[in-house]
Amino acid sequence: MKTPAMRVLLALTLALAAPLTLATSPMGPVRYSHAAGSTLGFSSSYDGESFDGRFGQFTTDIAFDPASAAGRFDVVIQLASAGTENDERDETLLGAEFFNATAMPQARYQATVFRKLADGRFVADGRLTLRGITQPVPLTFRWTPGATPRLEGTATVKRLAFGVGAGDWDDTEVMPDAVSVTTTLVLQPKP
Amino acid sequence: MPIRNTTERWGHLSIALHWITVVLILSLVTVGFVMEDLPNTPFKRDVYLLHKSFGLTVLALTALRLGWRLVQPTPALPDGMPAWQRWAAHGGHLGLYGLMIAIPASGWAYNWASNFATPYFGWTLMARAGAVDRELKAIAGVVHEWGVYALLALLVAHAGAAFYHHYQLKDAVLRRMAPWLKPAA
Repeated sequence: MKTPAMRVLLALTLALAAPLTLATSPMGPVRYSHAAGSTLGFSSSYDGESFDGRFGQFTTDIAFDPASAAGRFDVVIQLASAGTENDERDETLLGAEFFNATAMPQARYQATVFRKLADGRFVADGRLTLRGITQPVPLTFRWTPGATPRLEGTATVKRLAFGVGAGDWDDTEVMPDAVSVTTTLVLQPKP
Repeated sequence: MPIRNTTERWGHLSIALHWITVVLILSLVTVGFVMEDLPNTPFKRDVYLLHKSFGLTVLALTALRLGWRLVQPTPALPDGMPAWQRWAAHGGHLGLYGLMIAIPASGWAYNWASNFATPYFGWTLMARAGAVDRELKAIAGVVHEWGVYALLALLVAHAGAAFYHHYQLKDAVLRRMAPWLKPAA
């Protein structure tokens, strides 16, 4: 005999048990965040002079199974932490024409679709959100498994697709559209 | 008029260097005060590159002037000048030369400490330092700015003294440097 109360109880039990089962499943992927020694950098050039920058602050939530090339990346980058070893350039970089960091303090990279390459590396077919614009940005990476796996990745970000330096600074002869992004993540299981 | 100086008059080279420097300094100071507040655009960067290039030109011309002065006679001050005026004249000129070295040099140091390459009209004179030196940057910035205030004060005194010699004393001091001028009536 099923009363409405029992149905509710059953539904509640299932609803509570389902995520509990997933979270504690031995098959569930381990989630990692990055530890000291990790870097997230970018390289570009202006008027023929190359420069490198790095983000001092970002958070990572990484799950990846190299055997099945399945996982989930979620990286949140604090744009105001960008630095290129030049105060004047950094001021321009954080300003409205480039990162617009005051209005849009964070960039976010999310990926749920992965491919394995013939050379053993992987590609995350993720999406980058920057300045409120979301665009696909593939990240090619090497995954070194272990208790604290290592991720070494590179990506090319077309800055103008995100409106970075789209106004006065849009001359790609002077400043290329393609910005190369490099990251090394030393990962540790999230607590 | 000869290119060389005598104890009576300045030669072509000294006169040319003097007036080229006048034009450069007045332009550099004017642009220097305005350029800081320009919006962050490639135009602002171009203005800074030109300011740096012309500033280094003043530094080079000043070195040339000092070198030329060392190997050449210097026209004498007029007879009968009070001792304090002689000291003021020499001190003022020494100050002007010192500032024409210190201001571009501190600008160069500021540029270096900011981790910019040293530009010279499209050329790279010196590669960037590789890192920002905030302590040097702060010191060089103060020297550069206060050097300009001191320079402007000395320039006013320098030009004032020249007009005093020309219009009040009616001697040849200004005409030696500005030979196109007629003697004051």
